[in-house]
Amino acid sequence: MVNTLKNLETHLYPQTIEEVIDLLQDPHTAILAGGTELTLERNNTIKALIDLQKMNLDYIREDENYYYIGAMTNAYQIYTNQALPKSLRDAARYVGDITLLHAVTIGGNLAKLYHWVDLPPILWALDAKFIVYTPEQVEMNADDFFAYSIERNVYSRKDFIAEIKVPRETDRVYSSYQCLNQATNDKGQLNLAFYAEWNEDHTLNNVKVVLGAATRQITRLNGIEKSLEGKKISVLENEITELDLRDIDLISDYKSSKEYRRHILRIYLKRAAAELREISGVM
Amino acid sequence: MINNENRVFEVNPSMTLMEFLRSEGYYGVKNGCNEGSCGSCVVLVDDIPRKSCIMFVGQVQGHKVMTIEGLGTQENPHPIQDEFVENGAAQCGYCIPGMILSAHALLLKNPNPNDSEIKEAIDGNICRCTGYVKQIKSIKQAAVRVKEIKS
Repeated sequence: MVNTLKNLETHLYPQTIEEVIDLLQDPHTAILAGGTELTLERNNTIKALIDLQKMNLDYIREDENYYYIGAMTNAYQIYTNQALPKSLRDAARYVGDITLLHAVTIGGNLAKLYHWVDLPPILWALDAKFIVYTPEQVEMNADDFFAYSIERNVYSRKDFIAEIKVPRETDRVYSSYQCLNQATNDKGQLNLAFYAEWNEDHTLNNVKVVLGAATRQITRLNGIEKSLEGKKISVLENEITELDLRDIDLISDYKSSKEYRRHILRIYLKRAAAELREISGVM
Repeated sequence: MINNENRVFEVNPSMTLMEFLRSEGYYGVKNGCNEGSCGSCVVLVDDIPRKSCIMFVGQVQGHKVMTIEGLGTQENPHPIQDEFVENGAAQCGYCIPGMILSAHALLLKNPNPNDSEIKEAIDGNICRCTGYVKQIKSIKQAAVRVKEIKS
């Protein structure tokens, strides 16, 4: 028996947010969302698991402005929900094989904000909103949420993510998610989320480019966004060819060198630009 | 409920579902990678394929669990098991219980899958002996038989 949580004594099933917040006050508790990480974590401090499965947080709802995704919604539900933006569904597919998609939850993916996770970069690019209990209920925009989350050590966090609000895509909007990996279950070596809107004259605005897996933490590439803002869609691929990517602090490891990742980053940006040109009808 | 039998257990909450099931004699649940990669420990939880090595046993309290022992027997195999035998789709056999359960879950919701749907359904079940060709063929043939039985 592996017994990774050696001192675990109990498995709790709260049914209300108030119960969860109360249980989180004990430093020896941990939230169990999908479980895929906790079962592998060697941690002798956790004595009780707070299992969220009875909280009724596995839902995808919508109104005219947002999709509302409960924190316990799994990647398979997102992948197979045709109403959601394709870029978000694509990111959900990259989470892993089908059995893993059934296990990994959007809340867990956000709480354990490893640099290679798939759903957070596209949620950031789509400018999602996050309902978090800290323990007070707050709604955070994407920039604030990721600044807040990255700042904190994932193992010491005691807040609770309840819901994610994804803005509905309107006309003249493009988003995509690309991931470099070598197998379905392989962690990405470079994840790129891209979002842009365009005006009637086919110039870009509100460009968001979020990079994961290739940097030490998920990073919004503000420099690239500024370079592409206001550019005509027709010249976007040429602009990307000329971009100076040397300032981005990419990582090297046994899977890919930083030079290789830089090369792939440019290719993925150009692919996004080419797809954007096609979708927008610009020749 | 395990294999359609209501059971009550007192368990160590730090056990994974795989460890627990094997400790209770469900040896068809194989311990492969023990980190959620290989799929040899797949069981169905409420008819959904799940890797039991990355689930705590407490996660299935009140849920329906099916292991390969609950699908068929040597005397009366399920059509998927039968077709795997007929086609020689197993070599060492270690991955097969998990793969058959993933296939069973697929046929429960999609009785007429095409090749790409079958490949996607078993993409979490890694087989290091074969090339998946006979396994995909077996699942396709089993789908026909399951439909015939139901009709």
